[in-house]
Amino acid sequence: MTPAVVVGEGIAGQATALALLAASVPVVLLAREPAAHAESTHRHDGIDAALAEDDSPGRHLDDLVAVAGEPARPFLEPFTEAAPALVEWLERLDIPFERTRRGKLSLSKQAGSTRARSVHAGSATARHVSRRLGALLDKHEATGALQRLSGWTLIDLVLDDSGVARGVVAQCFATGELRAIAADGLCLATGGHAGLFMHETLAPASLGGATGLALRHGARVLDPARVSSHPFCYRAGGFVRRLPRRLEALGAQVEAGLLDLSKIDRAPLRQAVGPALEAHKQATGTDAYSEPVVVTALPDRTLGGLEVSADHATAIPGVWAVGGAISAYFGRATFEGLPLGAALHGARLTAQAIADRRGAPPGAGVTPLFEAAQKRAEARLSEIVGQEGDETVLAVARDLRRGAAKGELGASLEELEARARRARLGDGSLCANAALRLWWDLEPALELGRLLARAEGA
Amino acid sequence: MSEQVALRIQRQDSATAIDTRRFEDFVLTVEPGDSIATLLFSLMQNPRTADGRKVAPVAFESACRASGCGACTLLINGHVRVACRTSVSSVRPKRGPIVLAPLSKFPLVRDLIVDRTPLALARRRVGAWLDEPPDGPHAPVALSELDRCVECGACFEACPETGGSRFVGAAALNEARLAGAFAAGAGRKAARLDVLMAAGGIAGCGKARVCVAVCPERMPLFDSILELGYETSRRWRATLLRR
Ligand code: SF4
Repeated sequence: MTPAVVVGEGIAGQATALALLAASVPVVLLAREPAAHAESTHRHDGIDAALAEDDSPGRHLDDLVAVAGEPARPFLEPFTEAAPALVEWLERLDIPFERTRRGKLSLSKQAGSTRARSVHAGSATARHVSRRLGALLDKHEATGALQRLSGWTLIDLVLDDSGVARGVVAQCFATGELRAIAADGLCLATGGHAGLFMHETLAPASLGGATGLALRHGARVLDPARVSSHPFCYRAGGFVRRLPRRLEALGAQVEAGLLDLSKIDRAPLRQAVGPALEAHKQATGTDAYSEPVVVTALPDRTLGGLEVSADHATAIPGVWAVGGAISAYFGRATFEGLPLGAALHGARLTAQAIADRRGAPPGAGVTPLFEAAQKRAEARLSEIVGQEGDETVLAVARDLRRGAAKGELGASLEELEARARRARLGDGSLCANAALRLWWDLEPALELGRLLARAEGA
Repeated sequence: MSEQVALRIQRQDSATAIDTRRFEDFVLTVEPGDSIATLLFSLMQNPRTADGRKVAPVAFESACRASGCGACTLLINGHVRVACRTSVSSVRPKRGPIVLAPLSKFPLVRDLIVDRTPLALARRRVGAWLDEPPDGPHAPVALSELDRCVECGACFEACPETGGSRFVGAAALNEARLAGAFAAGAGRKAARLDVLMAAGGIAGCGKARVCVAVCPERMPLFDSILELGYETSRRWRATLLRR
């Protein structure tokens, strides 16, 4: 049986793979980073659900739609209905959610919410969820139903003559091996493209290469420039880090660029965000429990992304998308506690849709299709390795970021594209070549850049 | 105030190119507050040795860059450390360069990058995976301080007993202990204990407790090892009685 291919091992990808396996679909889980190192895994956010006695999914929906806007309603409605059961499933998985003295889930109320409905496991809810999903997936890996390709970069989608996605081409970071992989059902759980807007920093987030690839093959992208910012970012050693947003719910406020936590009780603060404050102290030397600390609001998460239908199908037949890569749940703005829950919920819808619609006929001509795709990728690779401009891929990526963040891509995009075609890799080795991996992200991200440039004009 | 710092980095071009193993020296500018990860990133911009030779960029692994994962774990002056959690000033020797090398108990990929598959294999060896949890509520498990592993590999690297088919290491044992405590893993608890009683399992621990000292998440890993010790001996006695 041809497996479904899930790209990305963040929480959205893990959860989609798991739901597919539960529906007896074999899965190849292909990811640039293993789950433990994925962006979504080390975010601090919690999960919102209508769990309080005075709350209801309808109320939750109203709050969300008021912030996100009407177009998100069709996605948010089923989500708000499913959210309480989702949290209950996570409880049964022993996610160490904070509890009241009587053993009930502690619910906190965020700015903009009319009810207390956020559950947290300290500032590491996502890590706990990811660890549990990982352990559930390990079982399927042990039986052979799941194949993890960790440390592989997606470099192209393979479409047949009628435009249906039949697989992907990927490259192994460690060895440089190129491989065409057949997929009966392809899911992009590749995250947002916030890296495009983080120009001042060595940003960990992706430039949106996978979204760019989908765009190139006929998917649509909504509001690519829409970004939400994080109020509690700080700089340390040249990198940007974040303090948890749930500090807002604990009463923290920023005044004149300073976050003062000294008036908040230590015990609840330590329980809620202790490790994050320790990491802050280790990195900056300042103790946020007792002294005001410098924070700044910086772009953090893209709200725009791939357009999907109610069952998470993109405009490319055979390609679904879930998590930070899509715009559906976020609209104009979003709550701290939505993305993680929406990823878990969306994963189930996506897996269901893929399981139902799989069974693409093996079809004559598929093998030559893959051979051709592999040849194309090999040719492309030798071109890239042969590029010998004066500047490196790093420099071009930096300027793409700068342009996107300042909304000035219109003036520089063509030049950036030309520079990318000449930019050299750090060296010609195919073994663990970070510049090459960046190039695979950068080149299709320019596609997104074109869209951004057009939006600037409008 | 910025200062100069000397770095000596162990390099190797690929897993198989053993003859390319070498040390290269670099001199870099550091700002107060810079971490070892900061240095590696600035080296990436302009990889030039102390004597002015242009060289291939030093390959290293890094993901979150913000103390959130364990991807950039390596050997700093021979000690296992997470690069983005280690300030330059804390590891600067009085004399000579700061020495960086890849973790030594994992297969080398290139330069400072290793393949962490042995960690996953150790988890699988002890059967630390989970099944779908049973329906209905159950009492919460209070083990969150042990439920934080970022798979950095530090405990596996530093332990005197791990490596190859020997002791599975503290991280795997800890996951096995957690799996036994979670409703989703309790069903296979007995089978897991049987595996832990075999070679490479719980008896492999030499009680050096280095794991606790090096874990960047400061997990009390030895608690899990002790607990498994009780559980396995109870199981062993029970099997004896049944005979
Ligand atoms: S238990 Fe601690 S030291 Fe060991 S791999 Fe996990 S985080 Fe690293």
